[in-house]
Amino acid sequence: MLELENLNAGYGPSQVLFDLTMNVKEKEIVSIIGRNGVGKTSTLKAVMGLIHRISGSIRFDSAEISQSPTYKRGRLGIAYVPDDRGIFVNITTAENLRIPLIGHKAEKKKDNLDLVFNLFPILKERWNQKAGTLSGGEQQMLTIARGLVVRPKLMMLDEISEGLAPEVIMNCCSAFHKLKSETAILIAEQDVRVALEISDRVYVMLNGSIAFHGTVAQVKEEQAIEKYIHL
Amino acid sequence: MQTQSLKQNNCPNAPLKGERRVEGGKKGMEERLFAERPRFHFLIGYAVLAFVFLGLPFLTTYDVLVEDIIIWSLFTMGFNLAFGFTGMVSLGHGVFFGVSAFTIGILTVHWNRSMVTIPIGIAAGTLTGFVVGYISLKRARVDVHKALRIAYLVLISIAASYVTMYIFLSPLAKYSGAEMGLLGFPNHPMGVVGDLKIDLKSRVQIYLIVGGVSLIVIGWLHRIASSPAGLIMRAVRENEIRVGFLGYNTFRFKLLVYTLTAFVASVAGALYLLRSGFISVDVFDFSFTSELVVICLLGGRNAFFGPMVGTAIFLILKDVISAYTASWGLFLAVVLIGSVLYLPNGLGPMFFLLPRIIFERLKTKRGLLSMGRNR
Amino acid sequence: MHLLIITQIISGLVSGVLLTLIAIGIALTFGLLKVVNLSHGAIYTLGAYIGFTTYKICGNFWVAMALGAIIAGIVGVIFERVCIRKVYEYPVMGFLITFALMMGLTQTIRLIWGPGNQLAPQPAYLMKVVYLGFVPISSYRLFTVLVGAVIMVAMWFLISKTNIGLIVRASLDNRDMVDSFGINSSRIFTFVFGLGSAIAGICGVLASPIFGLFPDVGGQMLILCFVVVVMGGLGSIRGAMLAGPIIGIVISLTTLISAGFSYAVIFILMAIILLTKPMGFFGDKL
Repeated sequence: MLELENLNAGYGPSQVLFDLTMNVKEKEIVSIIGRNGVGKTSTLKAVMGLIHRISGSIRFDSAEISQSPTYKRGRLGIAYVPDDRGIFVNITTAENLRIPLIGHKAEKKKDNLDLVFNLFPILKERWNQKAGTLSGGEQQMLTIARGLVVRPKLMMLDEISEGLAPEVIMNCCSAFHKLKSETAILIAEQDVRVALEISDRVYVMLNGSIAFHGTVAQVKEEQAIEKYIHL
Repeated sequence: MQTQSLKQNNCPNAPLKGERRVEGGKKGMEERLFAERPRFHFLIGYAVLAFVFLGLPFLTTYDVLVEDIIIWSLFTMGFNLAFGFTGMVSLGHGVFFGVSAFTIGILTVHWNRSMVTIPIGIAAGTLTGFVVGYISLKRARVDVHKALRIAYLVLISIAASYVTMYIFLSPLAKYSGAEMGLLGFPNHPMGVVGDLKIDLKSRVQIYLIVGGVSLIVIGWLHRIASSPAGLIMRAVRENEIRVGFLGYNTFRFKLLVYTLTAFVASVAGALYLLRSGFISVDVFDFSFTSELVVICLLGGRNAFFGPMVGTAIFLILKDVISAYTASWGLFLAVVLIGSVLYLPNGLGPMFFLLPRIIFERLKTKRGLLSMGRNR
Repeated sequence: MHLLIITQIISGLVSGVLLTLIAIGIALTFGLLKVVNLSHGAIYTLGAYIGFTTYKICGNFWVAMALGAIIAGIVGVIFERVCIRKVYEYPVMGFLITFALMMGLTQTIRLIWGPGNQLAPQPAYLMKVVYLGFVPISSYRLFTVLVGAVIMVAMWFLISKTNIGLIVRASLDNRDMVDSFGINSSRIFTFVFGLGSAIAGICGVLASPIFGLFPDVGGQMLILCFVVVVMGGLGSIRGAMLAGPIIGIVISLTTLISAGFSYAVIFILMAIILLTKPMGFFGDKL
């Protein structure tokens, strides 16, 4: 479903991704792990078109999207949940959830919201509050909800373990497993245990490229963590 | 940058003809290379500059234009240290220019005919610059978005220009001549020390003073710009927060640079008054300073001598085009737009690439220039 | 004496409303595009002159206002698409290019209409004097305030109640995220910019009898608008709505002493605000 091939990208003159090749298929959960600064967030941003692409191809549903502007990629069914949460702080929770619906012209679909409320009931309580007044954990929930509310084909999450209580993370994990038949998931994760717990396949990144990839079992066998992540 | 190109050309690992393969020897040679070539470069440049500043006015009928270019080059190059290098967009420098000139003028007319008024005027201008800079920069803290910081600077400098204009128009009208400008600046010789006087009517004396002072101040500014301070200025423009992390008090640094440019503006104002014998409140208007901005952009914000190129182009064009049409401003606007969109580094750098190209040609003809010398 | 002061206050309110409307365009542009749009004043001038010429041709004030708004809006959109959006997030360049656009437009206006003062159009049926209690006020000024109020209400409605308004408010917080949700934020910004320009255009036609009609009128008014925007908070519309009338009243009262004095007072006021509460009344952390 998502294919990156020899992707080179960076921030202005500073290149962070070097010949990156990876893919995410339907009905699976893939995670990218690696040390800090290795390029996990940048990979997700590159897929979204938020950083400068130098060369290489990005394909979604077999269509080349590397030349498309960000908003077109969003409309194709890619949802992005950034590590800084990207919450619109001055508008309410309700309005935050309406924005993606506007973008996908799906405002009338009430059942999308039901999914969100089942997963994160507290958002109902905070419905009319300004999103900036929510606690960190609640904001994290809101941003995941925003990603889910349009039933994307691919959801990309950056560091979801940060700021969430372990029990909530487990809720999310089981929810993701239930969702993966309709939403493929790509996670960039700092916390290796969470990543291994959730995913089907894992990519280990080092210095802007893939150092190792395989199933969770393979990762444990070949001791990829020790090789590429531990100091 | 010069050291790097040296390294590329020198192939330090290959045996050079006649060189003794001794570590000390090679290092000593490299030291001498680094020391000599830059100086050579600068000397030629300065010689040309000195000729232009001191000699050119006497050699052409366009002497007023050349003088204007000299004074404005000084003004803009100083201004560019704040604007181009450090990224402080201020529209207030006309104020400092004017305060200095007016102070000198008013004091000379009403009080004392000697040259002591000049340092007083320059000090007044610099002090005004310090105050305006302090107010503008105090709020431009690093935690505020960059666009906001620049907006503050611009707005406060505009405010200062309006307030000053008002001050000189109303309460001080009696002295400043209000809309008509300062009248009565005497043509009498200005006393220097004892019996030594500057004859304000003598072309020779005025031009030598203007050219000489400009040359000295520009030389000093160049030294500053080429020093680590110049690097810090550019760093502040790129990423002020990081510079703060390195341990610099960016507020003080920016204020220092700003005051320095106010000083240069004051000197330019003094020179202008000496040369023209006249100053009006028009200089306080921010459109006066915005011309400086245009010049810096045209000539190149990043190059030290860029504004000089820009000044020359600007003043010459202004002269030429104004003779044909009244819409000089429209032409300028179009040029400016094109400049921002396509030539953000201005025309200056292209100008300066020329000597370097010639230099490289010379070098390859004579073999490694420096090697030839060391024989 | 009291009467003089009251009439000045009222006239200050009127100018204040006009200033607010124009300032809203600047505030929005700054909030969305992070660019201080100096050409906004020139767009105001353009609208004023278009209205002037239209009124001379057809004698209908409403048509003049409409045409002023439309052409100003179009020129605004052209400016935004060709130049301004390219300098997003480069504040120095934004300042410079909008400065150049302002200069270019003002010079063009000067070329077309001449550098002198023009008599601003004012329909005869509005040249009466109306009495609010014992205070005389020109019916034209009343008309201006009414139109201004209508526009402000419409803007408020647009921003708070519509989807477009929601997108604008979200973009003020985080533009990238708006894009990633499939919304073409650039198109929305262009629309908002064009709207702001159109409003400036209408204000141009409306305000010419009050502020005057000459090529540099936009520049002078721009300065005042900046004070309004700074006082209200860069990027805040509510702030501009509050600050506009205040500034208008301050100016009209201090003009009784002298024009230069009123400018000086305004700027000292702005400097004080910048020093003490730089975010203005309602500005948020930007």
